[in-house]
Amino acid sequence: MSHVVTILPDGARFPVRPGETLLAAARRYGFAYRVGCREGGCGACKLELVSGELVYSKTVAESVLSDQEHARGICLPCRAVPVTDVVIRLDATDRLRRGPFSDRLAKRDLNKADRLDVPAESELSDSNNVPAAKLS
Amino acid sequence: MAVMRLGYLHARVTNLAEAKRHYVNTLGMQVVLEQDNRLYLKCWDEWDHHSLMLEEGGVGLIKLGYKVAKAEDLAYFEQKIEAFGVRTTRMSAGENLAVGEGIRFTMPSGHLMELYHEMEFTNTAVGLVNPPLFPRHLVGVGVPRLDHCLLKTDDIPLAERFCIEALDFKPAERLVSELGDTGELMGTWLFCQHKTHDIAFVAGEQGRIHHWAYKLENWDAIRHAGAILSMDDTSVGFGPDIHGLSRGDTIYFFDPAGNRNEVFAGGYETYQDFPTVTWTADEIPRAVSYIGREIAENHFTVDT
Ligand code: FES
Ligand SMILES: [Fe+2]
Repeated sequence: MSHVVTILPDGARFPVRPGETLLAAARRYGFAYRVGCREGGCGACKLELVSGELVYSKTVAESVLSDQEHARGICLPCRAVPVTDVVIRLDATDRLRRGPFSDRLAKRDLNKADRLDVPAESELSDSNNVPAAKLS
Repeated sequence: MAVMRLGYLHARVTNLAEAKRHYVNTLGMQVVLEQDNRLYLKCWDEWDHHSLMLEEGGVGLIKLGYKVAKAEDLAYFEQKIEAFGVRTTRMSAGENLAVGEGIRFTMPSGHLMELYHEMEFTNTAVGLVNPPLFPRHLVGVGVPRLDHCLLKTDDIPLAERFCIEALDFKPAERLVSELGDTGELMGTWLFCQHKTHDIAFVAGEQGRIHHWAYKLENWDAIRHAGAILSMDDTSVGFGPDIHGLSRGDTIYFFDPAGNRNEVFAGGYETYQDFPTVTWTADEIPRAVSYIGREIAENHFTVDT
């Protein structure tokens, strides 16, 4: 079963393919936010991991994501591969951007995977500012 | 007399096998030697032993090697660098594989630099007698030569003054916040012989590198490079476009460890009497991206 990524505070949801990084999946649907090299070298893509588990299948330099950051729940989406459903939160100074079909394609795939369920309230700690309409 | 050219660059990569895929299969550099956790590479039109050394572990620049024309130039620059107030140490032949003796110092910008005058001559891929225009079976982009690098520093005036006073570089183009005495220097592109630029600095964290560049023949070669980069799913940062500053045709992209590379074509030749060109900050869009006039928000902030 594919794992689902939720990006706060927007609430955008999309499934990831097995072994696919968070960023690769987001880009596949046309979702974008502030990133850099997309190759694990610059740290520009760092985000807060709110819930869920990620693994790093490629080496991540300590100078890019330190062990302390990792322990604090900071993740590197261009390298991080979800192994459960995950919820991540964009930096307050950034904003999620969409491609022309982002939500439609994501909804279609969530539907196919039978994962169109709305995430539990507890998963989205600030779900009050996520209008339900954003999910459709 | 100035230093001659950027001869070698040492950098870190997180994974050597992936780096090899990028630099060999995508860019078309040739493997000179693979040794422990190091990979030595050269481009097809380079005659010295290597121009790039990649070491596994981390990411970013290790050091730069600039070649000088004559053995006695080493003492000349040693004296000038010391006179500037920067400490130098002597390096002996063989400390760097295939490289002769030289001097080593950390520039005021925080980057380790070495000057040397000898590297083992191993010839270009086309040879020196009646050479064909290019090797018949180039791989990928087929980069001919390493060209220049753009470094980050928190003190551009100092970095520039060091290159001018200690290494005899000259500024080809400069980026200032505004014209006049109140203008702040935000970037400088310097040449040492006849290239458009051989080294450059923009504002940022000490010791970091924005990119290193390969010189391609022309705009068509940039187009071809862009096609290869896409086929190989390389992360492209910006371009193709034209730099107003330097009149260079460009694409920026990242290696699999996140180090930024550039393919660069066009530009112009410089001379000892080349008059410095100035760009003002309000024209940064044209200076960087002459056609699109839009710069990715991360273009100057992302580095390694
Ligand atoms: S975008 Fe550079 S580390 Fe993720
Ligand atoms: Fe460049």
